[in-house]
Amino acid sequence: MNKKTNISDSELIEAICASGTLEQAIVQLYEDHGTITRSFIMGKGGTEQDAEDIFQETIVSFIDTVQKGKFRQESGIRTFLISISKNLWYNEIRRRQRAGNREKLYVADFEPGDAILDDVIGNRELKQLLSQMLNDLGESCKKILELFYYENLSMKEIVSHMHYENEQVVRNKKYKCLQQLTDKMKQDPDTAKQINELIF
Amino acid sequence: MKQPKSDLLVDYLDEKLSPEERSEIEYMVQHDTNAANDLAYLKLAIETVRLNAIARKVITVRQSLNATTYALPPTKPVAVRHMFRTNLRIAAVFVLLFCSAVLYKYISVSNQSVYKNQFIPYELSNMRGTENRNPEAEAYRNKNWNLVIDLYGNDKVKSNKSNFLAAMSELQLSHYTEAEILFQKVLNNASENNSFQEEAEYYCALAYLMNHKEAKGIGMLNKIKSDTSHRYYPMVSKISGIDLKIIELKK
Repeated sequence: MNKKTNISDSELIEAICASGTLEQAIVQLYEDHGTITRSFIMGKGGTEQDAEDIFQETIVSFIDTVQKGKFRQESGIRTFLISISKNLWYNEIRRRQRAGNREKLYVADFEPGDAILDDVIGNRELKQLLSQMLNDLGESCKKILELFYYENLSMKEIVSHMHYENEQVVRNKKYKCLQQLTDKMKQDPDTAKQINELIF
Repeated sequence: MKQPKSDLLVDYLDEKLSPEERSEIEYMVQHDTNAANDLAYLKLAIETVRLNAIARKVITVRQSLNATTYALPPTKPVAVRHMFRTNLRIAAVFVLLFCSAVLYKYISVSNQSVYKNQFIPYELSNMRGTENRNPEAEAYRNKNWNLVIDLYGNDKVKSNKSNFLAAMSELQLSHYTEAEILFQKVLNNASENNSFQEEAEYYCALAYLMNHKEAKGIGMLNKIKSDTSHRYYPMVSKISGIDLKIIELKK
């Protein structure tokens, strides 16, 4: 995963946005930028596993930013990825400090990112909590929601994809799943508090 | 039947409502905190779904890449290490052989070895053809070195030829100092049609080496080596420069 390919940043952005080429784009991100970004984390006291996890999260955040049309391409992809990784890692160090872990600190050169970066990184712990809640809904709920909200499939396509009786069944199931997820968010006091702080 | 509020909010986010219905929802959200709160939670839930889907794809790719990177046949790293070790062994053997060769060369090369390799008895008859016979020449041909030296001592006029034959006889008897002096006489008498000059240069160089005058001997040999027309060039060109360096080092 050390080689740098000839694919330009613009081509990579296109691959992330186009349907059916995201997986290839992820491979490219790993191959082109994985080593240097993970080396950065390991150079700042992270373990190999930390570096792997932070880079994975970095790619998720980057793809989300690109797909929302928020990546301005003012900086290169590598610079942007390193910035995300850096901030994610410093946030993680702070979290571990709060948890009482006595780890070597590498936050001296931490500088708050710009508005986009802050938005991209967001609240890591909250995201992880919400992700867990979604997983707790079960595979069928998760699948329907993903197919509709991420893959942008129509109700008709979801019916054929998941072998439901008709579109109305899927529609009802989707409403129900979404409602369950928001209920979980509201019911957990810590999560609700964090969400309220974030939203209001 | 009127649709529940939460379903309307979902339809609003799914862009399933007409412009009028959208306006109604937007008005409601602006004036109803609970509705605004519900809408914010729904947006967050959808955002969670999106991020989760992306993460799932990234994890899948990461796992496949890790499988490609790490799931190598177990014998491969061993093979690489084995190859590496074999190459190291071969390299070590070469280094050892090279060092042994250098050591052997250093030990075996000496003034004596160069002399032994380079000294060939001077053949008078071969060189001069039908010359008038004289006692010294006759004695030399008969390899009677002591007689040559005695006759030379009785000579009133010492020519380059008599000097050279006496010098060669001294060389044959391993009297290197005496030989050197006599060769010097030939070299200092270049006026005599340059006779025996080139022969004297070559054998004098060898005499220098045996007298431990390495600098002079090597200097003279290099002079011959630089002159391709020199009579003894073919002989001297066979002497390795490394050998001469070793002799210099051992000095």
